[in-house]
Amino acid sequence: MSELRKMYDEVRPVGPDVLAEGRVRLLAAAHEAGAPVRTRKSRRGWTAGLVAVGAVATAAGAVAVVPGTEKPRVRPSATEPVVRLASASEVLRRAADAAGREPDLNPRDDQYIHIRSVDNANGIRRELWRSVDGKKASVLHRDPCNPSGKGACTDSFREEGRPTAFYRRLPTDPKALEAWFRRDIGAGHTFEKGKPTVEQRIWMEIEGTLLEQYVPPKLRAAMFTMVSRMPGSRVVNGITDPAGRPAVAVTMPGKVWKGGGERGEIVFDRRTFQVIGLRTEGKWTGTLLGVSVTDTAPKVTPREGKRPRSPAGKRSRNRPGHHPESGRR
Amino acid sequence: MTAVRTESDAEVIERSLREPEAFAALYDQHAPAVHRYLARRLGPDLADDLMAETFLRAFQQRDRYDRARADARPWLYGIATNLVGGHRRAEVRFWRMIARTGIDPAVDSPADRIAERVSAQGERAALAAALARLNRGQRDVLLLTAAGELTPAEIAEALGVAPGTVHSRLNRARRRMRAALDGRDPLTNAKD
Repeated sequence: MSELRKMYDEVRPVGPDVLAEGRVRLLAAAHEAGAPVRTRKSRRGWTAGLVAVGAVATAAGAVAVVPGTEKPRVRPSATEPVVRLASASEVLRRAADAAGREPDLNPRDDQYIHIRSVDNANGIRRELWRSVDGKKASVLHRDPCNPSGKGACTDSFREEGRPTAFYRRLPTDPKALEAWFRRDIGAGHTFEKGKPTVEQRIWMEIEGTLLEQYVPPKLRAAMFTMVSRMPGSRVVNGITDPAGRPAVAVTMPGKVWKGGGERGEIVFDRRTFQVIGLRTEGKWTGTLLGVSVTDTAPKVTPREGKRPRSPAGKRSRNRPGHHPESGRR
Repeated sequence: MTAVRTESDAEVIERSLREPEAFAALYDQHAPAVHRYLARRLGPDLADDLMAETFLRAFQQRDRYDRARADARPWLYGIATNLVGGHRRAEVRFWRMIARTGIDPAVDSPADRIAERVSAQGERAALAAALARLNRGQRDVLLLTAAGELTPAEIAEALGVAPGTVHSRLNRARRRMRAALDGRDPLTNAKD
């Protein structure tokens, strides 16, 4: 055979992780094409809301990797899941187990947490470098810059409220954590009729930190164990993630209240029970691609005519945890 | 993920106008080959991104696809080749690097093939150096031919040129390559 043809034959085949990521990107675009009208709410819910909630709000977060897009850090549990998972608490318990087996990335205060995800509402790929202690500027890279735009853009912003380091100090015992949550959420707030219950608020706080924040796996395990014991959660079976993998979701439906109450779903990989994304009322809002620790963040040169601003900064009302409309929903 | 499908590429594309997600079937079918082509020309890192980009562009242009063409490969390779064109300098650097070092980043070199690799490296380096010297049109035609997925007529379709142009470019490319390869043809390995 000729050397030139051999050069092709010897090319290393594309890895499943790269294939999966390309498919996620394609389906994000397809998803957007299929639903051009749906913009405001769901986009805000994620692009602004998540960073806002992640940066400012209470709660422990969780982080995971789409298995296949990066090396899964958790092996599938020895007991294979049954075909249908009967209850939300079972899913949450398995998620807690998976988180408990996951090694901590142990970021230092002077490092960055690098998070890659896709905003499924508009197909934008997002990369965040979050200063762990919040003392340095964090960086957000979007590609494309906005749903109609072509080019990518990179902006820096200051962490507002609680940085990644904050979550490293929260209790990792489910009971102690729940007590902390109830204190934190209940402080200065009256629970009125027609408003979300305290359980729903805790749920929202957790949801808000799942895609664009990093909390220690032990804390995430405690979080899932904690909500698995709360009443009201429901399982959503038969989901496939944008990369075509089987998934299962858990939701906490409640009364619809003014400015909120959309049914947010936390989606887990059916095999590893790692978090792979979020949905709202059955529509994908965000897909997590990977999380890692870096020593540096990309340099940012201010764009012309654009004042770099925090994606969270615009939404500096009160603390998001106390206002459903400023959280994801 | 890839089930056997009975639809032609054109039918998948047509369906994707109503059900955008259907386009994934085209991706599942052709993404590995498109990646291989891109990795061969630009190395694996750029290929990862440009493979995804190829299908995003294809998706965005799917309403302009000529449905009389059942096989979408010429179309996809055409888009991929356009993207390579945007990285022409990177491609030339890539071939020159292989020529200089004898190391080919697109290829896995497991330990059991090292001996073979060393002996083949001289030839590969010469080939890479010669490829770096071709002009863009010649390289497009030669490398699409070597990829082995498209007929000359399909290459013409992919590049948007006349079939005669493909032939003349290919002949010129082969002639230049033979001169650099000790008289051996880059595609058939025959000596003249």
